[in-house]
Amino acid sequence: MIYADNAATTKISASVLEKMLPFLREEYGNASSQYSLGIKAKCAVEQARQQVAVAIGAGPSEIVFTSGGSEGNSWVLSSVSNGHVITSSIEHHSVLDACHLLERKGIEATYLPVDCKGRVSLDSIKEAIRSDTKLVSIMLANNEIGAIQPIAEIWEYLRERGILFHTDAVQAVGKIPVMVKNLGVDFLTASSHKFNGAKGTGILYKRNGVSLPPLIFGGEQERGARAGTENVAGIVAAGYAISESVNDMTAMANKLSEFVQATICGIRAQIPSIIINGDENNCLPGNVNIVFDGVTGESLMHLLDLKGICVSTSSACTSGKDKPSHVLMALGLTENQAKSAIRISYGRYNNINEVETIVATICNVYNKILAAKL
Amino acid sequence: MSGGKQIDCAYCDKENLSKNDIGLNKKLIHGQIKRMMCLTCMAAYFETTEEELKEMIEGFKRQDCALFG
Repeated sequence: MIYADNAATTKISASVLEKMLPFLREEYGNASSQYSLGIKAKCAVEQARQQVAVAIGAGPSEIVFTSGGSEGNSWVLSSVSNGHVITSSIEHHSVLDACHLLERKGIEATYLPVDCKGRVSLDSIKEAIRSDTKLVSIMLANNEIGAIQPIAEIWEYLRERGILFHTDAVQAVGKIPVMVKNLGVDFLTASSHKFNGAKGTGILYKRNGVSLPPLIFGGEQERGARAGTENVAGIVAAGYAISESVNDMTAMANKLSEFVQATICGIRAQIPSIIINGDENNCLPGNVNIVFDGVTGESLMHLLDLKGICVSTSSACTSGKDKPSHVLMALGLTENQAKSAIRISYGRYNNINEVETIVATICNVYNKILAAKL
Repeated sequence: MSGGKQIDCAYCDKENLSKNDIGLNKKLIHGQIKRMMCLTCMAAYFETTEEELKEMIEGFKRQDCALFG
């Protein structure tokens, strides 16, 4: 199998798995228990907190462990109790759906458009801000097209206006440098399984001094911020995984960018009509989203699956109905184009031979589909 | 059969493709495809096995895809 859908999830690092296993076997204590088994678990959680804090340039007290990126996003957005929020039209559904819920409660939301490369403009934020704007939430990097947003530039404008600023950095953490003090955000969400950690653990950065009422009640875990028995093994994995990712980030980014270039060049040589979505020059390393005119992304995805290659299409059929990706539509693609796209996202464990196989197989399958349609 | 009309394989003499055969044509080739293949022809065309295609059909059925039944 060739796995090229690392934007969906990543394979857990072998060394990270080794570090977390003891907390599933012998060291299974509850981190809130007062005897030695629990204290060991607690120490492991605090060590992971320190690892995460160092990786993103935060203080340990500013890190809260959650169940994932969706929880973190939902938590921050749901904390808005009145006024107005601003977000972008290409956010993850955990942000968009939370905004829709706010609207049903009478809180207004503005969904900023993006340009054809998927970028939010500072001018559009300036125009959208009102006297009652409480929160701006703009993702650092988009999950479908990899477009990177000008978060630091946006913060420069917002900080003088006292408006809270959240970024969904789930796709970015572990792949590009993410330093919260440079970004200037008040909140940042990340998810361990996106950087070769385990599923089920997320990270919420909350700047010291910013208030965020709890979303989950029932215990004093996470210094009273987030109740619920800690997923110690998952948290341990997150700490080691983020450290590993940061340690070789530059080399990994260079390698993945080469893979993407090889993919684009290889496919374009045989299928000149492809369209690359997003900004090739300002994109998450390893991510590429491609429109294949004349075929559906779903057909390509399933046929590649038959060949043992995992990629994704954002326009997936559910129960016989297929909806185009809201992200691709926001770029200005037609519905047909949006349904004709696939996303390839390389990761730590891909190699150049796999890239070549992916290119050859895509071209082969594409031509077969076109011929069969005649 | 789709809507009561019999659809035959356009590449061999197999007649009366099943709902699942038709669904797979639509999934793997195109939703508006006119010239459909039976599983045998499809497996040969895409250089896979009928077994793999049948597994794929079962997967779609488990996902409650309306094209299959």
